[in-house]
This record gives sequence, C-alpha cells and structure tokens, in this order.
Amino acid sequence: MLKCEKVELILARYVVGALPPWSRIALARHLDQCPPCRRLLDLHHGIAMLVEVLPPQEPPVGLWNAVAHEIGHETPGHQPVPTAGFDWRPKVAVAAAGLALGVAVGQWWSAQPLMTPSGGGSSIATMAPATPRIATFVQQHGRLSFNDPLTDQVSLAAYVTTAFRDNERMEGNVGTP
Amino acid sequence: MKQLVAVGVIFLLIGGLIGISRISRDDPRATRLLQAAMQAPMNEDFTAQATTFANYGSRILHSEATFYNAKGGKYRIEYKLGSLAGVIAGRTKPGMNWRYDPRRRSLYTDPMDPVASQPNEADDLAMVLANCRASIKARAIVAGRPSTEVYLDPKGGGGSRTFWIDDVTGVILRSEEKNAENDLVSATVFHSITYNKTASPEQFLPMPPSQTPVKWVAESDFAQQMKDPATVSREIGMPLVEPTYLPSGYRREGYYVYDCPGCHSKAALTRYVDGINSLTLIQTSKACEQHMDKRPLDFGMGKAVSLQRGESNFWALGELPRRELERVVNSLQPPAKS
Repeated sequence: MLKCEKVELILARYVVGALPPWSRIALARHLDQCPPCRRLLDLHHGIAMLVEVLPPQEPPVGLWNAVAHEIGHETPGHQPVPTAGFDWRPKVAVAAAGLALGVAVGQWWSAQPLMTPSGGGSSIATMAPATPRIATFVQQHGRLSFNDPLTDQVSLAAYVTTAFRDNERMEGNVGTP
Repeated sequence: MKQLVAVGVIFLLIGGLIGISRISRDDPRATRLLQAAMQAPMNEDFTAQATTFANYGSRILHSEATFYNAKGGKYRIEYKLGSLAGVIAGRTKPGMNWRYDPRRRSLYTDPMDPVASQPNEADDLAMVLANCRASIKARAIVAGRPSTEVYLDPKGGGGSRTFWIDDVTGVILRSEEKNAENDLVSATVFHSITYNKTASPEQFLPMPPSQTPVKWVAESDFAQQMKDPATVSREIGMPLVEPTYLPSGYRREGYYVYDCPGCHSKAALTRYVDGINSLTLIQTSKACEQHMDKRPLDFGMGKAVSLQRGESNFWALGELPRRELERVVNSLQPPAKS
C-alpha cells in the first residue's frame, strides 16, 4: 500500500500520464481510500488544465549552449570499465536486439488489416485543432455513439454537451470566415 | 561471428512467436467479463462517484460526477465541476437520451429510433470479439471492489479501450480510451460505488431541477434514420455516394439525414461501426459554407478529413488513423454527370 508522502511525489506524473501501469494501479488503489490525496489530485488536475491554456514559452537565449557546455565538461572523465575473460556482452546484446525485433515484427505482422485499400493518396498536409466549425459533425458523430456497446457514457455526455454549446454559438456566425 | 548470428536468429524466431501469440488469441476470461460488462447496465442498480476526462480538440474537459444506474438500462449523470457543473444527462431507456444544460437553460431530448437502438449483447459482443483482440492485463481494486483490467485492441488499427470490470457484477468501474496514436483521449474512474441504491424513478425522466424554467429542445429531427440509400438520395437531392473501401472490421450501422445548419439543406450521414469505434461519413452540397474549411481536423476523440468531388463535399470522422480516413474518402466515386 502506498503512503501519502509517496503519493505526493508521483501525482504530477500520474496526471500527465507518465506513470508506469503498475504504479497507476497502486495509486488508484490508494486514491480510492484516501480523501486527502483525492483532493490533492483535483488540485493537480486544476493546474494541468491551467497549463493547457497558457501560451507556449520560448526558452531563454543561450540555454541550450550552456547545457551543451556543461555536458562537454563532464564527459572526458567518464571512462569505460575494462573487463577480463570471456566477453558475453555482444551475444546478450544481439539476443536482446533479436528478441525485441522479433516481438516488434510479430506484432506488426499480426496487426495488419486484412483488406487492401483502394483509391489514391491524398495531398492533405496539416491537421487543424477542433474548431466550432466542425461542432456539427462532432455533435452528430458523438451523439450517435451513445448506444454503442461499452461506451463511456460519462465522458461522452460531457463531450457532446460541449459540442452542442459550440454548435449553438456557431449558428449565429455561419458564413463568417 | 557464426555464433552471434545463430543466437540472433534463434531469439528473433522466439521473439516473433511471442509477439504473434501475445496478441492473436482472445482470453476466454476477458470474453466472459466483457459479456458481463454489456449486461450490467440492464441488471444492476447502483450509485457511483466518478471523475471524468475527455480530450475535446485543444481543450480538456474535466468534471466530477454522480452516476446513478437503474435496471433496464436507465441512468442519470450529475456533473459537478468546471464548465460542466450543473449539467445533467439521462437515459430513460436504451435509445431515449436527454440532457439538461444550465448555461443554455435548455432541456434537450433525443429520442432515437427505438427499434434500431435496442441493445443486443450477443451481436455486440460477437462484433467486438471479431474486430478486437481482448486480453487481461492485471487485477486491481477500483472503488474498493476487486476488478480485472481488460484491454481491447482493434485489429483495424483504431483507438483501443481498457476497462476495469467488477469481478462480481460486471460493472465497468474505470474506463480509458486511447486514439490510434495511443494518446489517452477520455477516461472515467469510479471512486466509490454503492450497489442496490439509485435515484428515484422520476429522476430518470427528462426533468429539469425543480422550479427551473427551461426551453425544451427536441432533437428528434436532427439526424433521422433512413431505411435505404434511395431514400437518402431523394432527401438530399443528389445520389448518395458510399465508399468502396472500409477499414477492416467496419460494417454499416445505418443511414441518416440531418438539416445542415450551414446551408439549411439536407445532408446525408452514413455510420459504420467495428464494435468499439465508429466512422461517420457526411455528404453535403459543395456550396455549403458550413463545410468550406477543408483542413483535416483533430477533435480529440478522433479525426476528420474532407474531400470535394463532383457536386458534393464529403467528410469522414472517426477514431481511426488519419491515413485510414483518407483512404475512405479517396474511395468515394460519385456517378459521372449524364
């Protein structure tokens, strides 16, 4: 069982989705039984939402050069440790690489769709974020998903409510650029 | 050197076998749990406290909610936080949804086709299992209940789902949806759940909070289901065009027509599903200002791409990789003008 002190340290990583699965499970278990930590989680979510709406910040001029300079100072002192006798490391490295490659190829091969596409390529180059202009599409697309099996009704209803609001706001502005 | 090559090849073969076997077999326990999860909303009364997130394009929607479920597939969701505070969403029975929005002081009723929306767990489960690899990931305690983490990975490459399913009742205690790029796009987790306790029967009906004057908005005419493509073509005044390419596992769920708020004429909507994800194809007149913006869009839960061909604009929306959506719209071939 996680302790509250440990939870405080890992909550920020949990909120941004950077926590490994086993830690997430342990944390979820703790949060189920600890109201103070759940309040702390709410605070983190609030901060994460604020960060989302902040404009992007440029790093100070010269920061990268300073970091590279520091790294350059440290590396000369770092020497590889010599080993004696039978050198097993190349074999292990090749085996690990082969295993990883094999798993990747196997998964990729199994994940290929059975149908082959028809039609040509596309010249579409950039993706735009959602705007009120597509709210109608999103609204229709989401609304018709309510009766699909295993749909998360709680998040979908939140989503569709927001799309409806955007669409109503847009209806007064149809035709403007 | 030969030794090295031999070791590499052996492990390559072992790794390949592991990679294939890991994801090509459905776990029968996962199948049983998914079946229970589909039946639970019809069979259980419960009240749960939940946290929910949804990625809406550039915005993150976040709220706390109380979720009341009643036997027969009824539910009531009361949102409590942020922009969604005060919103109530409900379902009187499968296919009959409603929503109260305090910002608009409006109550939206959404009666869909009651025949088409009757749940059929056997068909639904068969489609999910035909199109997804189902596997068990871990055991966990969620909302104080022993549960099992079940992962659904679509074979066609769309968004995946992870469910934490109550071992005893089959209720989904936690749910995560990822898009085709493996980014989390929505999640709901129950912090507590009380079985055999739910809202009073009248609270599942479309009613605003007491004493609140509201505008009633019927959405019954918003996307009406049509029986066949010929009817759709008559309604929209041009031939309905259907794709010759669909992503693996997708089948047509229905034809719809709605009033486009951009050009105030009828637009066609054809919907395809694979069990957990959906693909919506929209066809409008090319003169419609609503659909002038041709850039592909990312609306959080999915993506949209467009194409103008012949006299029509087409949009494809879905929880699919962009290249798959592009293949779908590129396969649309309107009939040549006679």
